[in-house]
Amino acid sequence: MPYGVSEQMIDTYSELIFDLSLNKQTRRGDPIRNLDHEAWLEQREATGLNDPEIAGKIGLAVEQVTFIRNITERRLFRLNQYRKLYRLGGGLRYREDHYQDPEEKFDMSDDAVALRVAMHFSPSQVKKFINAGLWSDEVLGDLMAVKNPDDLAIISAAETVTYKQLGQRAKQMAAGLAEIGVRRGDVVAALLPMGPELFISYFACAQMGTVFLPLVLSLSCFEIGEYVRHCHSRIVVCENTAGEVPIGAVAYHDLVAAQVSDRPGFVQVAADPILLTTSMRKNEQPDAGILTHQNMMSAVHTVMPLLKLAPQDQIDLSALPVSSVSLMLAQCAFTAGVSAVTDPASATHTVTPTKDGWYEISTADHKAHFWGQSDTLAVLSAKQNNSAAIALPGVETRVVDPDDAILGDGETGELQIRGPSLIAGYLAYSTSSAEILTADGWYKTGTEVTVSDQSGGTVGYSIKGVNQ
Amino acid sequence: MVEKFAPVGHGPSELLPKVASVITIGVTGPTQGTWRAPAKVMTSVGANVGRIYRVAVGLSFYIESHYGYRSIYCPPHVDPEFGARLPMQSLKLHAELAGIGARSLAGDILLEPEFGLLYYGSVYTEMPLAADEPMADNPCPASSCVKLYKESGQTPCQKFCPVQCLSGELNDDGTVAEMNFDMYRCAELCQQYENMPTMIERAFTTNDQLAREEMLYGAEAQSFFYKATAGVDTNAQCFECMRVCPIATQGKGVDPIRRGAAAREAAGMGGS
Repeated sequence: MPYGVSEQMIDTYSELIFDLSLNKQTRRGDPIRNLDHEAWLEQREATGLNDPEIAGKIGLAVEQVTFIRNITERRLFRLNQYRKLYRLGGGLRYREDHYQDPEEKFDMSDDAVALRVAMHFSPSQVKKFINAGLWSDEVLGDLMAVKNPDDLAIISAAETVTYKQLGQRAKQMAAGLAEIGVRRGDVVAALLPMGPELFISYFACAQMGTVFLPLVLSLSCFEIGEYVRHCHSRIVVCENTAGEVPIGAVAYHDLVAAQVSDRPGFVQVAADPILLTTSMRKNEQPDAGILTHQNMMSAVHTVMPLLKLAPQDQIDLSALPVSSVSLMLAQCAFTAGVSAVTDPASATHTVTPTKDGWYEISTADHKAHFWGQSDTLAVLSAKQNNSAAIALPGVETRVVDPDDAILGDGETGELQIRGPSLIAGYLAYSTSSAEILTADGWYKTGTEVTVSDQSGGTVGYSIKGVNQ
Repeated sequence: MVEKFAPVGHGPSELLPKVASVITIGVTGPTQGTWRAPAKVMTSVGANVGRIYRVAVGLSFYIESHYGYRSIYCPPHVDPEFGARLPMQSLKLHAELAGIGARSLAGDILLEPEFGLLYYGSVYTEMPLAADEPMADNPCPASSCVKLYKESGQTPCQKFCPVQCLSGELNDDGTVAEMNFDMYRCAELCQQYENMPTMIERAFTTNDQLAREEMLYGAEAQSFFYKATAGVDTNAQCFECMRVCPIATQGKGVDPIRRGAAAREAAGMGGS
């Protein structure tokens, strides 16, 4: 008990001492400059007293006043206020509503922290991806900045959405999510069909740093519940076309009706998680892989040359289920400034899933194929169905036997992948990370392939049942 | 006069029992370029206190050696008995009574009509000297500030304070009716006296190892420890109230560019 001061005494005197001290100063007129000693004495208390003066006024010892004042100042003190200064000056003016505390930007729930803890990339792989330019600071939100705002971004049977509208609605939805308490790193599940609502929701989540969990409409109620619980999803966004929203869900149209605030925008970070993939393991346990902006953008840049997009093109995604791959293809369309289409009537490009992880891109004058899974995105390509598949840029492949021995030309085994579009791991409490990802970052695809055509330094693979 | 207005226990005789005179000195503030720098730079190079301390120390030696009167350089820092927010003596009071500054709406920062924002130092001496008078008029608020106040209810310094620590009212004739200064808000932004113990306390109380490392070794901790150990720009002002003050930034003697041009012109070297 320093100087005989108890916590109760601090409670009693702290506000009184604080208000009398120099912490709050009021001057009326100009008494000192006018040498008006009487007027100065009259307002002496308001100008702020020193500790001996306060002690004399309230009947405590000077040491007690000093201690209580200093403790009160310390308890009111907020760290990090000086950061406000660092965005000022040189013509910039301070506006409280434009300031965002750096800690506030990264304020996350325990669930969001757990999701981050589950993410792990090999340091050497990350270094390689960055040095090779496969990963950069590019984020989904960057797409909006470079497009002609009046070009069509999404065409569905029900409506068309321009790039300007896509950006606006995503902002509104982000504001709507923030209004109901969704924060950075939270998981937002969406039970939406392939179409504008799905893409806008994805953009909104990316914008505010939340993690999008797309669920296919064909899932049973039980499965939906399992995924939502497993992923600790903060909310479920759904359609309300029938006028009713299931208990525990939020209607998409209610969210996009929100007013966008003047507060600083959310900061998108390329290394942040953006998307969860879903799968049911053999034991019927749900699992969710974590994809980052960098994973998605690297896949986009890998697949773009296969699509050969030109201005005014339209990519039909209506044949695809809602998944990380279909969202990646939509991102390809938005990156190129063309339209993602869910009405095949006018499409110039059609993407269809064929067999065992293969996707076929068809246009009037060319076809291309890529192979991938939700957790890997696009990792192999083939010119034709029956030609050997080769790894896409940045992707490493190997084929192993059940004892993990690496196999060579003509041998058949499990395909394993490492690459920039591979998930960062599975959500916590899952055993899948250890079962599916090796210690040095190889992803076990579970797909059997035969090694072939190693000429020219490129290893080709025949994938059983498809191009064999 | 200084003894009369100084708070009890903080008059000049507390330092020099037979003090006869207080000499107060002001040196000008930042360059014109500095006023246009970002606040981060201003907090580092805006203050000119080092120069005034050297001048005041030199003057106290000069009076003793040339005139034979005991003199002392007035400590500019805090009173160690009371912590970090109470000064040992009020340099502001000395300068105001000597007529080289008047209290402004910006938290009573003194302003001088020709030289704007000055840094003050004082020497106490047993040498008897004739006293100067306080300024007849207070340059604050400037006419442009009165105009803004009438339009918006705030002067520029009040409007642009990052932590809104300034408020007050003007009379109809444009003079100050009331000036309010929440020093604790300003201190939180600029002086950061509580930074180091707060960081250490937080580090003790967190269970998160990364958070503890951030508290002790993060950018904020490192820069604060750097400032404390290197003795640079500790407890700097933020300058945002002064940056928008026409007296502080545009007075005739404030602007080194204008001063230099006038001097060169007077010497026949051309004004530019």
